[in-house]
Amino acid sequence: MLVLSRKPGESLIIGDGIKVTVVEVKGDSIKIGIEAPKDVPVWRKELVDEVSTQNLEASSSPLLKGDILKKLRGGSHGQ
Amino acid sequence: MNSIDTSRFGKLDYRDEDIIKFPKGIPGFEDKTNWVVTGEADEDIKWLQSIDEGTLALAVSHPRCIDPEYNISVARHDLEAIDSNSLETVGILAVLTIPADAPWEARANLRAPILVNSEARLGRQVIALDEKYPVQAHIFNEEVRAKLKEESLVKNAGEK
Repeated sequence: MLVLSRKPGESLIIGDGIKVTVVEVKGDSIKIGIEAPKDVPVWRKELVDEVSTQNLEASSSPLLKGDILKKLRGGSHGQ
Repeated sequence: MNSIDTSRFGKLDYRDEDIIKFPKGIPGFEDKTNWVVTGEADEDIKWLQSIDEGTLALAVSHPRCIDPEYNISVARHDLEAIDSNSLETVGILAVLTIPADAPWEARANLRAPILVNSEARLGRQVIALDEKYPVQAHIFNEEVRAKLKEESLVKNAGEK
């Protein structure tokens, strides 16, 4: 891994058109600004990891019998 | 006709044209690139069965079966990756997690749906740009969960 030291207000350029700026350092938290082309996705790594984890859990789902499906079809939804 | 022995569906027949190619696999299963959709036509839950590994299948459902208002936007490059330029023309599937011992706790990944271009036979799991959708959305609301749980406890007690 490339490790560089930066101060608040300083930036890095990655490839063509990606700019990462250290906006603020406060205790153990760092605010980072990212300017990237629209087609470059930027996600928190936790979100990406959560998707993998959920897929791994989902792969042990059992085949369900009709009962649950009927209830699902009944629109018993909730967040 | 090809076939694969699966743990859930026994011997599953499929045609080459049934295969949906996920060029990057599915997160967690990056090396599994060939999948087919199986399940009864009139059921809300379908299965995405890996044809690289018979024991691997993911329960999926159209997100609107879970949230009738479901409406997302995705990055253009995610659509381009499956040879599409509009969400209107692709199929959307949410991956379901159904705990075997507590199916009432079933959850759907509404944040990261699977997009399928059924004409090009290309699929990809993407992260929706809409932050309001959870990765683990309950399928059943609290009331239904409590009811299903109670029914299951009564049933188990009756069997003993």
